[in-house]
This record gives sequence, structure tokens and C-alpha cells, in this order.
Amino acid sequence: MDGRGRQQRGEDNSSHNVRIVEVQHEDAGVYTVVFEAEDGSRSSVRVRVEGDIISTPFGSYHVSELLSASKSAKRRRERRKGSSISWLVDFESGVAKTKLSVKVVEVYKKPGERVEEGDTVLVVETMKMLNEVPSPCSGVLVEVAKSGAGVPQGGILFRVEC
Amino acid sequence: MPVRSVKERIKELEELREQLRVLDPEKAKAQHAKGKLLARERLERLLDPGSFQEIASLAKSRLFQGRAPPGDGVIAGFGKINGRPVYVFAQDFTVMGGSIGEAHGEKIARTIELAMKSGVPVIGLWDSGGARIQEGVGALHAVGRILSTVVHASGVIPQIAVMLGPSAGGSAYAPALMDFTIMVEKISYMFITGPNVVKEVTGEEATFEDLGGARVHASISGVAHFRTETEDEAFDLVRRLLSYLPDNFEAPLPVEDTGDPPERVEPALDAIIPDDPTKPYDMREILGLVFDGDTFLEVQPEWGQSIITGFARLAGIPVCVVASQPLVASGAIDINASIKAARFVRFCDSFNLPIITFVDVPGYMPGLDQEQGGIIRHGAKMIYAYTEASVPKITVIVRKAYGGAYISMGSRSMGADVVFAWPTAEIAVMGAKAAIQIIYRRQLAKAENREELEKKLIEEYEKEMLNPYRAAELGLVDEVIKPSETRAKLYNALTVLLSKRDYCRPRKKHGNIPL
Repeated sequence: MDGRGRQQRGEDNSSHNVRIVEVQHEDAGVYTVVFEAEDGSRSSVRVRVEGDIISTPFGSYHVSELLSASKSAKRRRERRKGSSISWLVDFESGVAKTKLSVKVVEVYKKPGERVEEGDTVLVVETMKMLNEVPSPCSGVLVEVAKSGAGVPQGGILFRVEC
Repeated sequence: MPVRSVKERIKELEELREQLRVLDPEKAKAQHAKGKLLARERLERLLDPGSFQEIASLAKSRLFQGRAPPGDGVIAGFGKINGRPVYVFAQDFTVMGGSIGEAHGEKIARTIELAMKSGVPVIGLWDSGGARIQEGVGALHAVGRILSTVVHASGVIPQIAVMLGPSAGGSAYAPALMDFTIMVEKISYMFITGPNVVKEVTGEEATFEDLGGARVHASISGVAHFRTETEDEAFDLVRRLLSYLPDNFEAPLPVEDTGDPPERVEPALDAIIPDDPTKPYDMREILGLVFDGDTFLEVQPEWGQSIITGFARLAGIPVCVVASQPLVASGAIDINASIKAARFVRFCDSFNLPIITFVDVPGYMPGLDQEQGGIIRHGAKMIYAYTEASVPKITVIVRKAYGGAYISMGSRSMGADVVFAWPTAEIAVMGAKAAIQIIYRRQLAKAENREELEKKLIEEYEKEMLNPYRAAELGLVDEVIKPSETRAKLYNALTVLLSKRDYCRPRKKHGNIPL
């Protein structure tokens, strides 16, 4: 993230998710925070904490603001993952049913394979666009439509046992 | 005759104030047990500390037979939010179930009227069982007074409704008439007819949640604009929402220094649109890069999702954003999306917020439910709203812009002041495949190798028509720009248009927007 809360982007335009690996206490109220990016690379930032304010080279933030901002950002991310495909797919007890007739274009997972919540299971085409359909939960993929198949409205795209 | 000293009178006042703080400790405990805050607690958390001044604090119901509680179940007054004055009223569910009686309704109506006179926003914290049955028609009139006052204030000052409890019957119309409705998960319920009557009349078994919970109104009915998990989040949201809005329709826009330079070139934008036209992308990524960092506040994110509406800042200037979302239904406009965009555009026009539109739309959503549902009427609302708006209107055509949907998404004929297009824009009457079937019907019918001819014609059409240049030749696109240049181009156009005055308006009482 840069100082204005925007995620840094890699050259391939992927957004980096970082996690905090280590917090070293340097001095009274001064810490060095070590981050690790998805690709394993590490970087560190020195921050100063004074009362309620965290000062970094990128800007100063109120602790309470950061906490509530991160909580609501996390919730927004979770909502986004789920709701983006709800216009096309109905998920009920791990069964993904399509609301429009679609053509299965590509299937990424096999029956018996383990899937995590949010993993793309297959890609369907409708209304001249390709749409990725993620798994609604983590579990085992029990059945999945075949690549190239046409699935009518109400048909089952896949079934996950969560 | 004993004379009460001044000291005694002041002491009497202090005791009365103490009594007023918590009128019924038992009911207060019950409120907390339900996971809800008390009315005064809500006001403390919403407003700047110590800024609240109450009005009509001791008003009592005339018609109510028996011991009428002071305040009549609602606490109203004015205070500050982040230093800006606002009016606010909070219904008190612990007093007669927050039911609306004559004094209660009059207090709310008066608060909104004062807000109108003062030219500052009003925020309603709704938590009520509805009209007070014991007061009979007087209670209904009180509800009606609230409704009519909200309507008179509509477009004069921003009105925000925060649903912090039930809101049933006629009084549920008041939040709907306000500008924005925020609902809280598991606490807010809004419905006109309750589950019991529904069961009696239609036989349907419906819970409070099914009829009017936060999720239903945020994603199905479109009554709610925001949905939060906790009351505190709702208050944070009110503060954030207000930061984009002027105090009243004549007040200047609240410009903030976000520290984000207006001439920022964003190379990442050049890489977002996939080469393959059938691959979607998330429009929110584009919005996140063009506007000031972390300033995008999406309105109604769960309803009519093929269009994104929300507030953002461009070099600190608050703007309204309407953008296609190719991830949902390929960006096709359906009934809900049209209504959502139309209402949002009209709100922005009321309060002089410029409108920036991002277009990637293949058309309207086809289907029986859309046609029989009246997409004609609802789509027309969007056209009406855009044309009627006299604020600066700037459009960026990002990818597809076909047919009638191109027209309604802020095109030149809708009064867009400046129109930009990316090189990936495809501004045409319809897509290649459909178009050549119509234009070359005879040639295709006579062709020896129809498939080959089709392929050739589609390629030709794609090259000739599916670009921004035909529209640019007609002057409907002002400049084809590189995606990375978008922010600076938008900022320059915005700043020159900020004091826009629209002169060519025929005088009339008011138009007839299709409803």
C-alpha cells in the first residue's frame, strides 16, 4: 500500500498482498516492521507510535482509523468475492446452479480435487463474455460440468462438499 | 405562601435533567440486550463530543391519556459532525416503543424544517414501532407531517436515514423519501405490512428478515443504499458520506486536500483492458487508479450491480461516478441498474456534484422478465435524469458502447460536456456479428461459402466500426486518449466546467419523468 491506501501494483498489474512477518522494537515508540509479499520478497519500514498516532514515511494515521478501515476493507473484499457472480450463479448448500443458459468454456478443477473458497472452478460464456465461477466454500469438488457443454437455465455447474 | 428560592429552582432543573437521561432503566436494559444502543448513546457516538443541543426536550403528547413521557419518544436537536453543523433526531424505542404520536411527529417535522431554514443536512436515526395506536388519527397525521416535510426538504439539504430498529407502516416511507438509507444487519427492519397481516391476507409465512431485513433491502428491493454490520460502522459511514456533500443546494462543494496530484499519469491503466474482448475486468480497478486514493464510496453496491454508482474525489473535488461493471451481466443495463443510476444522477444534480461516467456497456439486459418488468419505463428514467442534469458531465468511453445503452450512459446527446474515449472503445450501433447479419443479409444468403464470408465481413466491420474514431469524426468524442492520461484529462475538463451554468432551459413547472 502506498501512503494513500492504494495497493502497489507489480509490472504485470497484479496487486500485491503483503503480510507482516516481524515487528522489531528499536527504541521507545519506534519499531521496524518487516513485510513479506506474495512472491516471498521482504521489505521493512520504520514506524513511530506516539499515543494514538502511527507515523510512517508514507504518512501519519490514527490507530482507530486504521483498525476500522482495515475491518471494513476486509468485509468489502469478502462481499465482493461472493457477490460478483451472484447475478449468474445460485449457490445453495454447495451446489452451483446457473441462472441463464451458458456454455462451459474451461474447467480448472477435477472431481475429487480439493477447492478453497474463492478458487475459480470453471469459466462459462454468456452474453458474449467469459465469466469465472468461484467455489463458494472450501471443500471437495464432487461433480463438475464438462468443458464445451451447454448448461441450460437452472442446470448444475458443479457441486462442492464443504 | 412559601417562595421557592432561585437555588431551589435550579436544583429542580438539575434533578429533572438527571431523570431525562435514562427514562426507563428496565427498557434500557432490554434495548441493550437486543444489541441496540440507546437513543442518547447513538447521538453521542454520531456527533462531535459535547456538540449536541436538544430542542423540544420536554414536549409531551396532548392526546395521550395517562402519564405522557417528556420528549414523547424522540430526541432531536442540532450538533456538529467533524465540525460541520447538522440537525439530527433519534427515536427512542424505550419510550412507548418509539411510537409516533402528535408531539413526536411534530418534533421531527420541526427538526427537518429548521434544517431547511439553516441550510444544513439532517440525519434521522429511526427506531420505532410505527404510529401510536392510542392517539388514533392524530398519530397518522403526525406521520404524514413528517413525510411532507421530508418531501419539502428534498433537494434543499441532504437527508440521511439510519435505520437502527424497526420501521413499519407509513413511517417506513420517510426514510425512503430521504436521500440515503443506511441499514444495520440484524437491527434494521423496514416493511409496510408486518408478518402477521401478510400471513392473514396472502397466506405467506415470512419472517421480519425476509420481509424487510438489511440484506433484502440492500440487494433485492433497492430501498437501502448501504448495509453495515454494526451501529458504530453506520455512524462512521454517515460521517464519511457527509464529507462528499455540500451543506445545501447553494453551498460550495467540500473540497479536501487529499495530497494526490491531479496530473498523475497511471501506466497501470494501460494494462487493465484485456486484449480478448470476451474477457471481463473489474471496473473498480480503473476507478481506484483514476480517482484520489481510497476516496471511492460505492452507493448501493449490492443492487443493480451492472452499473457502479458512488462518490469519489478528483484532486480533492468531490464528484459523482457512474460506471459500467463488465463483471456483472457483461455490463448490460437492467431495470435495477437503470433506476439506481437515475436516482443517483438526480441526487448529484440536486447538490451540484459533477458527474463522471465510465462506459463499457453492450446493451440492455434481454429477457421476458426485463421487458414485462418495464425496462422501457425504467431505462427511460436514466435518460431523463442524465438529460435533465445541469451539472458538469464528463464521459469516458472505455470499451463497448453499443446502441441505446451508449446513448443513455452519458453520451453527447444526453448533454455530456466533454467526452473522452480510450483506444479500446467500440462505439457502434451493435456488435459485429449481429450487424453483418442485418447489413449483408442478401449477400450472405447468396454466398457459396457463408461461413467464410461471415468471417471476412465480421473482421472488416470490427476494423471499420468497433473503434472510437467513427464517433470522433462526428464530433461525439472530443479526444481519444491513452488510458494512462485519463486522470489529468478529467481534472482539466472538470476544473474548467466547475462553474457551469446551463442557459438553454425552457421554463416549465416541472417535467414528467417516467416513474
